[in-house]
Amino acid sequence: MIRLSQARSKTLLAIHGWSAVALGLLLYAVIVTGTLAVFEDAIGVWADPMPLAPVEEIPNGTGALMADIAERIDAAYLDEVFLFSGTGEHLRALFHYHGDDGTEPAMLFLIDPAQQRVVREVEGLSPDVFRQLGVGALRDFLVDLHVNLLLPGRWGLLATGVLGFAMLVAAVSGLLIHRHLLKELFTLRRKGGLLTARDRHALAGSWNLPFAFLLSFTGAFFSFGGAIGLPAIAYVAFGGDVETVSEELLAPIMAEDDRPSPLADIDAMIQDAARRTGAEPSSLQIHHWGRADASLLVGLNNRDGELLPSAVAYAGASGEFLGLRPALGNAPSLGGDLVSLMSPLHFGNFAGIASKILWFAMGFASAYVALTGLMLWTRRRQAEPGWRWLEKLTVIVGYGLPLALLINAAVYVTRRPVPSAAFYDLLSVFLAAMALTAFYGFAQRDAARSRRGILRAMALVMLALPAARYWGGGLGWQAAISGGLPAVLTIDGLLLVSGAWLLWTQRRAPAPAMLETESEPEALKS
Amino acid sequence: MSTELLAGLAIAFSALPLLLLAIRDPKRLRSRRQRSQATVLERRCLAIAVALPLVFLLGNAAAALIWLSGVFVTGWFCALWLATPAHSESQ
Amino acid sequence: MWPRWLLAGPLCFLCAFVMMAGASIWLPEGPARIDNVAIPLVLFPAVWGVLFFYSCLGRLGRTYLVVGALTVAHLILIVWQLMLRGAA
Repeated sequence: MIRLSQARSKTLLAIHGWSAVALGLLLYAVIVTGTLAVFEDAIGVWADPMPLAPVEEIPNGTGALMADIAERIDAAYLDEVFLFSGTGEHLRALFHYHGDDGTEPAMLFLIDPAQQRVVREVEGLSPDVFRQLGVGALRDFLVDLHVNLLLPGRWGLLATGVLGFAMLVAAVSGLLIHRHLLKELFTLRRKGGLLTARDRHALAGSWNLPFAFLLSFTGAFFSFGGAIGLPAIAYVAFGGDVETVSEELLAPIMAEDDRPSPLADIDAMIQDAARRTGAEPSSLQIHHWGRADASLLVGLNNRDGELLPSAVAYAGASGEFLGLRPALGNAPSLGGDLVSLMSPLHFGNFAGIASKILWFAMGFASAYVALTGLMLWTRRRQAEPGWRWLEKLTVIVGYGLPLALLINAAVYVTRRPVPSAAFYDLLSVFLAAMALTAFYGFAQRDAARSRRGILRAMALVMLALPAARYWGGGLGWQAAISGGLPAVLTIDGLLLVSGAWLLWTQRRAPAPAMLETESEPEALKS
Repeated sequence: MSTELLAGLAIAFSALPLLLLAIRDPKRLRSRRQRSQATVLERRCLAIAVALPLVFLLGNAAAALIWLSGVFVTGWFCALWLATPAHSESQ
Repeated sequence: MWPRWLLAGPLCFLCAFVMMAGASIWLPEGPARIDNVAIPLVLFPAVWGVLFFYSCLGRLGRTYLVVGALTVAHLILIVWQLMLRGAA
């Protein structure tokens, strides 16, 4: 498709292959967890259902509940208040301030918006408080694994940023080296062996190319932007004051006035925002609560057909409407729009279930490309014993990671009430499950045998999960339907169907031979 | 018309020429030792037909994005489905 | 081999990083006064990608020159900005 010299093709092929060998399995982990995280809300509803689903994201009365909270906590925490979605249809209210030592003391509240009550509250430092909440730990663990690879502080974001770059490199180099991309868009030769393996990888990679580019670009933006980008720009342009940069980006401009002044009716402002725009409020930001220069920003979901979210600003003390504004910045701007575009493009949450299903499908394709690429690499080198470890490791991570996540889910749903240390318990369970899978995988004679064993284990856990959830104190199907929580039934159904299908395919299929002896077309010889 | 419905209709419109492109794909048929009778003009017309809904979706960015990803997923599934043993006419 | 690795690896990343930080100085603020912050952040992956493939495929000497010049130019901008702020 793109003519390159042989030397350049060789260089790009080496880049494509070796970047995958070095980082492919970690990238696969990020892709798989990201694909699942598309449905983090549904997973949250399934794992931590409320008795009743709220009619709106921020029902009337939530503002009054937040005002009650503000009355009883230390006034220092009222400097910055964020309200956003939590696990399932819960809401999270984060009250915090920026300490002089660079820390962020915070109080985090998990709210049931349907019943208008606080479910959990935690005091500590942000972002650690999120891991101490307990409820929502399954969903948080999945998201944390995707965003940070469970690494502490900025290291996690740097790691996932590097993996985003690796995916970008793989996508671009793959495009450049695939000489017949358009001609082979519908070709999958089933002769078996290397040819089929190569076609599988190339086919999925070709159709997934634009999405791979999009996800790697936006993912790298999110990771590096938070870890090093914003601090660096803050240092250069604002003398290191990240707080000022954040306020410039997020908060409405208010003349400084630290005289005490109560906050106006939050519910009234939220309802006003919904009425003015016709969009659904989804988040709140309150700066300097209790001061005359308080501001309140109501974040709104994107309207039907649009990609970008928006916001409505109010003077907090008087409740005066300050104007419509973009989600970022105090006026429409190219930079604000570009940054705001990153979220819907990365998360696929801009058009309800339709966009989520497609983003899940494309994420699945990306994971398939990563896995088949590594399998192709090890297949090509099957005659070299030095690469057997990678073949086994690919199976261990490729199939063991979903198994470990399923085991995590099983452990989580059987412990009610959810302990506050649930996140760290899930971490231990996950690492233990991966270690056991690795032990099993390396102990097997060949990778095909371990693959079959892991898939069977996955099937059994999938089939057991709905029952485990119910016996652990979860909602029954009838209660879930009458409570307006179809996600419970949907995920249970998907687990049962997937588990049954997996078990059936693994019982039926003979152990696939990983080493196939046949002559390779010249074009495939490396 | 809602975004999901608009995008769904657009994907359904694009799916048929996409399937025809897949069925009459020269490289795919050659790999099965069959001859393709699809001309270049035919293939270009089908490709244009696949892309046509985009014209009607330009005012709805969300629907356009859903359509685009739907076309990619459909194309991939077409290729996989046509490669299954039931569609393999020669070995 | 290693000069190419060095260039495509840490040097290329450093150049993209310095360009991102330095661009906040020369890019206009825009109507919301955030364009000079937001645009470099968004374009950072693209800038790195271009530099990376240029480093991998371009003539080594010339690529070192280009990457070096971009890095030095933006570093000078950054130092100048910090000195201005220190004097103010």
